[in-house]
Amino acid sequence: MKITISSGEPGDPRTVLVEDEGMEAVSFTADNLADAQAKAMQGLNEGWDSVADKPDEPDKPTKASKK
Amino acid sequence: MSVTRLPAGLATRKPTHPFGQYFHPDETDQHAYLNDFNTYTAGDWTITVVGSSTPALVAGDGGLLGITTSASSADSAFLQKTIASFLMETGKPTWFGCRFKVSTLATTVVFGLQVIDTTPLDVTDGIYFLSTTATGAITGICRKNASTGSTSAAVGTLVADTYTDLAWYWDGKDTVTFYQDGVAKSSVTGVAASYLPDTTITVSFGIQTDSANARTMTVDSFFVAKSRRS
Repeated sequence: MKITISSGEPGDPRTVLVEDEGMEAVSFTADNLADAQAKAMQGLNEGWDSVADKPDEPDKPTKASKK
Repeated sequence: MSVTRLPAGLATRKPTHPFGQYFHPDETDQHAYLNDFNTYTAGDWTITVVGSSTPALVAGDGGLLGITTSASSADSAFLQKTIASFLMETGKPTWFGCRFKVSTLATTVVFGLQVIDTTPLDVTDGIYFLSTTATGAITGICRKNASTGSTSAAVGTLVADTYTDLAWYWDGKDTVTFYQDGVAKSSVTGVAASYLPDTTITVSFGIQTDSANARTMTVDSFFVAKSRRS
C-alpha cells in the first residue's frame, strides 16, 4: 500500500492518494500535513471509505422546481 | 583459520523433543525475518510518502534498496513491513539489526521496529533508532503507548554516505541494549514495567529531508528474531 501526501509547508492544504493492489485508488484532501497524516491513520484503521472524498451530491430539488 | 566440522550434525533440542535427533538447529524456536533486498515487492510494505518517492532496488553488491525523496523541505518516505507481526514480551528475547547509509546528514532517519503509523518519526510504540540532527547523532528509543512511556539513550553518530550497522537486543527481562558497528553503545532499563511496546510492531525505516534537497537512503539488509523458547 502506498500513501502519497502532497508536498508543502506544514500548514498548507494537502491532497492524499492511496493506492494498493486489488483496490481502486482513493484520494482525499486535508487541511494540513498533520490532518493528512491523521486521516491516513484513520483510513488504515477504519477503512478508506471513512476518509475518501465523496462526490458532491446533486442539489435537492426545490419546491419551486418541483412544480 | 581452521573450520570446526560437525559431520554428525548439530542439534539444539533435548533428545526427547520431536526435533531431538534433527541434525540441524531447530529454526522453529524463533520467529525471524531477514531481508537482504535481493528482491523487493512494494506490496509487502505500507509506504507513506510526502512529495514523491518510489523505493526500488539499486545496483550494487549485497542487495540494496534505494529510497530517494523529492526535493521540498520535510518531504519524506517511510516503509513499514505489512502486516505487523512482532509482539515484544517479557521472557522472549528479541534481536534486531540493520545496515544502511544516507547520502547526507541534515536528514532525519528512522530505523527499527515500530507500530504501523503514518508518522514514523513519532510513533506510539516501538524500539528503534532516530537521527534528527546535522551532527548525525543517533538516539535509541524504546516506547510504549505514547511519549510519556518513552525512554531513550545516545547510541553514536551517522557518517554521510557511509554504511553503518545498528542493532538492538531486548534481553527478555528488563533491558534493551543498543549497538553501532558491533559495539554496545548504551542501554535502557526499566523496560518491562514501563516502556516495552504492548502492540505488534514491524520493521520500519525511512528518511525525511531537513531542507529543500532530495535525500537518499540505501538499505543493505535487516534482521529480526524473537525467541519462541519459554
